[in-house]
Amino acid sequence: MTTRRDFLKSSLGTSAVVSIGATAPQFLLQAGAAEAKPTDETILVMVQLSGGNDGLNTVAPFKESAYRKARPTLAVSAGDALKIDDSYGFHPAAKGLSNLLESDRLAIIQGVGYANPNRSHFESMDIWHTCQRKTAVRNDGWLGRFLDNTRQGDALDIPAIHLGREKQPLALSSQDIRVPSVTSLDRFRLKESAGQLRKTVTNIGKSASPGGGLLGFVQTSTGSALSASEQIEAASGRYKTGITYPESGLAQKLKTVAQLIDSGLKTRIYYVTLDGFDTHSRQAAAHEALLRELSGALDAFVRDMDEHGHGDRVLTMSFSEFGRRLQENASEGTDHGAAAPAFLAGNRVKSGLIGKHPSLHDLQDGDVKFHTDFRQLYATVLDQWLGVDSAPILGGKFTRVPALRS
Amino acid sequence: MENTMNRHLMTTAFLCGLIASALAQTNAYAQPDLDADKRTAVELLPASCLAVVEMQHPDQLLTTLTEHRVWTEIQQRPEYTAAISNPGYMMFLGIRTHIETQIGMKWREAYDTLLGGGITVAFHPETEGLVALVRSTDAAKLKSTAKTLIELGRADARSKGNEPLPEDEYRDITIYGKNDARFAIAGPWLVMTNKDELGKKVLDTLLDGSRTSIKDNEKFAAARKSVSGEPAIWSWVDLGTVRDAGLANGLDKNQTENPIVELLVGGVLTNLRQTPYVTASLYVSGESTRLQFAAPHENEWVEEFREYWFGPDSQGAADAPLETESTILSISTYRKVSEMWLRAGDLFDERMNDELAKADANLTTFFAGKDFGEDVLGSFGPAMQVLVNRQSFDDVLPKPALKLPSFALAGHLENAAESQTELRRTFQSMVGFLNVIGAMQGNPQLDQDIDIYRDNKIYTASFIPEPDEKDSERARIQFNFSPSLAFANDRFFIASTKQMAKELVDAAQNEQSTRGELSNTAIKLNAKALGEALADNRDQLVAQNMIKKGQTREESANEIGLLLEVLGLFEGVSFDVKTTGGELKLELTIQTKN
Amino acid sequence: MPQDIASIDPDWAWSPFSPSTEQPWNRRLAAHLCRRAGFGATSKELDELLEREPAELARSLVENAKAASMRDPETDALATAMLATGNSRNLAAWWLYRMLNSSWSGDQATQTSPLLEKLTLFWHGHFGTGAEKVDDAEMMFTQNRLLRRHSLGDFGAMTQEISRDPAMLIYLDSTTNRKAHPNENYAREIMELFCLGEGNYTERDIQELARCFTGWEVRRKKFRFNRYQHDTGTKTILGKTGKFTGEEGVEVVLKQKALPRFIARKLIRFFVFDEPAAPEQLVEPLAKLLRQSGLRIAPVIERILASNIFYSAFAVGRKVRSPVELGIGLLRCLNGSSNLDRVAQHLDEIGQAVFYPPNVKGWDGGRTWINTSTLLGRSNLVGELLRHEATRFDGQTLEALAKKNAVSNPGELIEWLDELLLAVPLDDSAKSELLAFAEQTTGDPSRRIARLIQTLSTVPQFHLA
Repeated sequence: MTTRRDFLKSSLGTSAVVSIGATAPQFLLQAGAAEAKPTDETILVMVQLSGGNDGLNTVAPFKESAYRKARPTLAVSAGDALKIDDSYGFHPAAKGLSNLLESDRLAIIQGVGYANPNRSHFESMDIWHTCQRKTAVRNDGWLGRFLDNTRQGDALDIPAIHLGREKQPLALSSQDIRVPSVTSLDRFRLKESAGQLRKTVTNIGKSASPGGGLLGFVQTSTGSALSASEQIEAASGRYKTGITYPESGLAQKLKTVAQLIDSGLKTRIYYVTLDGFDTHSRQAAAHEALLRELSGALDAFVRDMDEHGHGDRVLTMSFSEFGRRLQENASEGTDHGAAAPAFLAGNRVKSGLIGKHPSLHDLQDGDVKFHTDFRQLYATVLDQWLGVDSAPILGGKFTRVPALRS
Repeated sequence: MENTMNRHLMTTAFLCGLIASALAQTNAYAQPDLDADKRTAVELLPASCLAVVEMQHPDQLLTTLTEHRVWTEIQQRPEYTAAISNPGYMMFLGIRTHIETQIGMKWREAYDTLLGGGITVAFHPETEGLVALVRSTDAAKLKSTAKTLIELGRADARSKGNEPLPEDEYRDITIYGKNDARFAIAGPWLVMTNKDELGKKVLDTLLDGSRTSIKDNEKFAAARKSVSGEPAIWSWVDLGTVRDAGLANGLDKNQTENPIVELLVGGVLTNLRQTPYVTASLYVSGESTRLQFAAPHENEWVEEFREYWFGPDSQGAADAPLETESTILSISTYRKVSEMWLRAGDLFDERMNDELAKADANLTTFFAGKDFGEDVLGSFGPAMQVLVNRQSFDDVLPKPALKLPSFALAGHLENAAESQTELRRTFQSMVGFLNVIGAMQGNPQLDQDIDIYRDNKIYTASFIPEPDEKDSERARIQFNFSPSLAFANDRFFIASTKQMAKELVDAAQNEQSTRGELSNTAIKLNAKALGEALADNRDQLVAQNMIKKGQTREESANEIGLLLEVLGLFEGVSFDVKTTGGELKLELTIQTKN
Repeated sequence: MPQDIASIDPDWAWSPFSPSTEQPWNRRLAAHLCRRAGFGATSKELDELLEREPAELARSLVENAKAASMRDPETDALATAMLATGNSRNLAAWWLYRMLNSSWSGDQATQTSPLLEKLTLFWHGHFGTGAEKVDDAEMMFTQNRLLRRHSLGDFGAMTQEISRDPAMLIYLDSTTNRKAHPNENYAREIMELFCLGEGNYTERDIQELARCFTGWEVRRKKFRFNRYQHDTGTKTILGKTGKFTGEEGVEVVLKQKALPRFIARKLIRFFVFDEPAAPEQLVEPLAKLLRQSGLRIAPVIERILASNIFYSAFAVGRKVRSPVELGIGLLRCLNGSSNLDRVAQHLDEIGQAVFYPPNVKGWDGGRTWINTSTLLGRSNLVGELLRHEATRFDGQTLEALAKKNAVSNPGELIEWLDELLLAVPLDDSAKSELLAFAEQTTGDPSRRIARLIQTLSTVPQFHLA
């Protein structure tokens, strides 16, 4: 991603916007005890790739001569590619993706995009986030609408979390719910020798007569807050994992997500981003580093979730706002494109290539054409995974993509 | 027959004489007149010591410090008076007076007498012990003072119910203390150590003499020879042996973690991996305090990927800084930056290299496809400077509310004609780009212009004030800047203000060709200019202090005032790296006003 | 005392409170007043206030606030200095400094009044404007001064002025309003959020009002009336017809019956209780007062702060402490000072960054302040605040402060803090738990006191004001 783009983003403060919309979890009101039942609800982890990931080099059609001809310096050769099948293979740096595929945990949905592709970073990303084009009113994102639609009085505790310093993605903005933007687990921890403090306050809570109204509400909230902090501290303290996460930024963020999931927090959506994919020139080294970061992190995270017994209820989706041109440019890079593959990773995906690879001969303005609307992907996730009706959220019915096992 | 007898007699007499004199000699060693011992500490320390720290004239050092201007200024301050009136200090004074009476000397006299001959501390690897040798100027006074103090100490211990100071005997010398802290007095010497064995070894040398001491250690001797002037404290470390023993693992990886550190001190790392020893000297005088690190240096030690730092034959020299009266900070160095960028693979670990690869891709795009490492950085010569000057806004309107200093990068262009055009184009498109962003954010626009100054072109960009802002004395922060690019001969200057660009062109044209000793890197901070720049923004400093410390305006004003006063006591700080004369020298100098 | 809010007699509710044996005028009640009408008070200040009668005190507080509102902080040297960087976060620290250094006694000509700052905060949330979009500290400062000037004054004048405030218009994307295609944004918000509330206007009214605002522009950060773009035709808004200009359009809105009720309801929620929603008959007397006093705020505030209901069980402990009330309140009650930059950051983390409301609706308040992350954040904030090296209490340590307030053991400490800080008193078992906690703390006395205060701040009662 160019420095120009950095400048063009409006500079917002990096401090958090905190959730101010949640009440105590239902189980606490019922049970009244500090024993938290592990939740069975499904979790979606979004990994956004900002800048426009070069799909053609991520899942490379190494056999096609059109591909090699168009990319004399950048094309992934048959020898280097990590084979998916006879005709397609991963970029050699994407070892983690290859591992996930081998262990039956990666669905590659090809040709994802939308009609009348927009090649501006902001515009296209906003479209992915809100499912609306510029002409419509865009106040909330698709995940924000999901959060709004699923509130039923006893809402979830912090329904979604954005992990990172960057501006919160529009996808998460909603009418009523503020999603916290968090940079570390510290936000969910009591600092400085919390043990005795927790004990005292919990004891006070036990012996207090439950108040009505506001007092009662604060009492139950306090109970669940202390319990959550205890779980997170215990989880991160002894968070042992046989998996070695790479040192990269994305891997560390996903490790934090893993710890939060394991701590029993009832959050259903986690959102992280990886920036830097806008490789207009000298793409080779930069893209290699990025794919290495992405695939290493995803691989470690999915395996880690499986190891801790959450593999069946955590789904990870990775996408980018557009792909890149087939033809490489004069600076050994590629320019903004249109359709590209998106990825779903987890125990319950239908592993492998889904949908055909877009044709390299039937191009639109030099870009491969999409055949799967991104909203179909959203519909799949909303209907089949998160268990809500996707139509009101997406503003229409969209055919699902066969990427998840029922 | 008679001749043979005579010969036997003479041989016997000769032999007897020899034996007698030999006996006499050993007698001399067995009962030396210790009190009149004339040896120096280094003659008494074992040859295998790895590190030695020496303070030859503690009395002179103390005099310099107590007469120092900074100290006298501190003593005049009310804060000092308040600090010494606290009960703790009073109690300390009381104890000190009591001891003075007991030993019959004022503390200063005691200090001068007892330590006047010098203090030397050494580390001995075989015993892993430290030993300190303190030489007094008067052996008798040392003995009596020690006796008094030991008695005082023992009385105090008894009164508190503690164990009194134990003592031991070794070769007629009393050793006090136990385990980790022992000391003994022998003649004019006070020997202190934490390892019994080591202490005894030194005493042996004291009593018997020794063939070899640290004085004969090759590396030590070489280091001593190269001492210049009279340092107040001098120290030496046998780095070669330390490395061989595997104790300097930090030097194993010949990589620094980040590019800034690498740029500044990468070469030092190269040197430390090969150099036999390192010395550190502290010079103290009324006007300046200088800390100097030195180590032998040979050009053969320089790896290929560090050549950018040292220059050819380790003689890379920085330019003289283009300083003016208003210069707050100048950093002048010799670095072939493009080489460093291209050698990143050797210099940094994989993670940093990944980051640099990403940055390279971005920067190459930014510079319109020119390879950042080779073309962009490659067009710069190795001698570069960064300067930070105080801006005076005396006859400038609008005046910004927050007065920031101006800064500039000065360097040389390899192919002046070609690179000039490139640089200019990049500069102008950068300004245009800033304007687009600025317009979106409601910031003032930059107006580009070309000035001719002393036959040189200066490309400038100044912010345009709004009509009602033109005469403001509280203008926006942008009015601290008017980015400019200037060329003079093969030099280029990228400055944050037009004024600074002009000043640099002046300085370059008036540059003296003669300079003092050439440095590889020279960093200088001028306290006066810094003080003035801070005083320009006194209101903001006070406000920040009020907010950050929650104090009242008065308290904050006092604090800031104090800060500026203290700053006013100093001339400045400089840091130099020199690679000439077969040595790598790092010098940090703090100069005070006299 | 009836249990149900619906059956309260409104006349009684808004009549002046007279202390009695059941409800004595004591430190607890005075602390309640200070928490609501400001950010809290020290024990000494409480004792001084106790010398006055509640009703008279309310009047005096309002007068002081009014006097303070005339003292424009334009010349405030601290503000000027903080604005030099152009960063609105610095401005936030400045405002917190003002809140902290406000004086209850009002005899210092240079200091501001806590009630004034509290009301300014209320209006800032009411007319929500965020610095991240406005991106100009000077403009945010100008708006802040505008709000402060009118806090206790004429709501009508304030609304007229804020409708032309560049920061507000920029925030609401209303910097252009053309005859051909009127910009409805501001018209909608002024009716929905600022004056009337939903259900008291129609879409048509919005469109007509938007026509009144045509020609209202912000150019180069200044308000400008572009008469060429103004629609001079006849408009019908809320039943009134005429060739209204923008100002006249606002006047029509201001004359609506719904307005005094809307504002009164909001004031009740801010000053008296978060929930339940005040019933109509309770709002009506205040609405009437507001209307009769020509939309002047001061009399309404005075009535509220002197009233029976304000001092009743319906009000005491019936609001959730907002982050600002928590942070500044803690410092204020303990006569403390600290690094306000850090405090502003912490407050942001728990949901309230002044000058950065989440949207034009301001902060919802009430239960929305509370969730897992903010509760833990509050406890952490108190802990860090007390531990911070720049934090001083009366210029000294906690230990010295405790001594000054005649507190010499943990038991007394708990009693003192309970009275000073809590709206809902601790019961005996809670006190003994805290005592047990205090006893096992280690370290120097100040640290032990700090640990106790942090634990106290995690107890649910602490979050009620």
